[in-house]
Amino acid sequence: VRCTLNINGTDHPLLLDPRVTLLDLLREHLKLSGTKKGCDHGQCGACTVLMDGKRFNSCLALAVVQQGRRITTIEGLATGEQLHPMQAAFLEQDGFQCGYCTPGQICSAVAMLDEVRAGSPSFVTAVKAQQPVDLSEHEIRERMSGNLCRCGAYPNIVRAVQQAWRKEKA
Amino acid sequence: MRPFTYSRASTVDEAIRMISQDQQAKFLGGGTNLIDLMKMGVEAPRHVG
Repeated sequence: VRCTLNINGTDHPLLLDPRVTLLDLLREHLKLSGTKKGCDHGQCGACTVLMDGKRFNSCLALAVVQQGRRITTIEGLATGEQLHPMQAAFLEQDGFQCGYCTPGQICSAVAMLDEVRAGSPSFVTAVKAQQPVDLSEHEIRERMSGNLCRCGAYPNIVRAVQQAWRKEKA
Repeated sequence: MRPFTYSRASTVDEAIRMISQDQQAKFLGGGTNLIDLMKMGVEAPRHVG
């Protein structure tokens, strides 16, 4: 199938087998290996990328279906040498150990803050969905629960997300 | 994953026509369930749209 996919602001004309997942396209065809393959079954979140700004597990997305969407990977978050505030926060708060889940964590966190801004409810705040979300640790852990970290760096991941959120509001 | 053909319908009528032409055609939707099952070989549709 012929298609053109917009990845990190660049159009890529491609000829693809319909079976190719977005994850394999990024890693194997386009050599954008920042996005990681963990479980390849949508359970771990390591392959999280942004589709039109919304987070999605790229291992469960067919590449050919993505025509017309803007795909953003971890490689596309920074502006030149200027890190995205979430990337900077992960560095400053040491929000990782081995780093394998980190690209997924960061992409997920970026989209998660957008969801919070849009007033999207979670299991934690379902009953007060109409009010602005108070981004507590409990809330962050719930909203980031789709991204697993086998090193267990969760405390610092939470701090990194809190820092990015505070800096944005300040 | 077993090979399949892919097509994208632009209207509801077209989607219904495509799915009714082939007993082994499946709607993809977001795909997070179907693709997982196709990887495992639980589902092997001939056509996906």
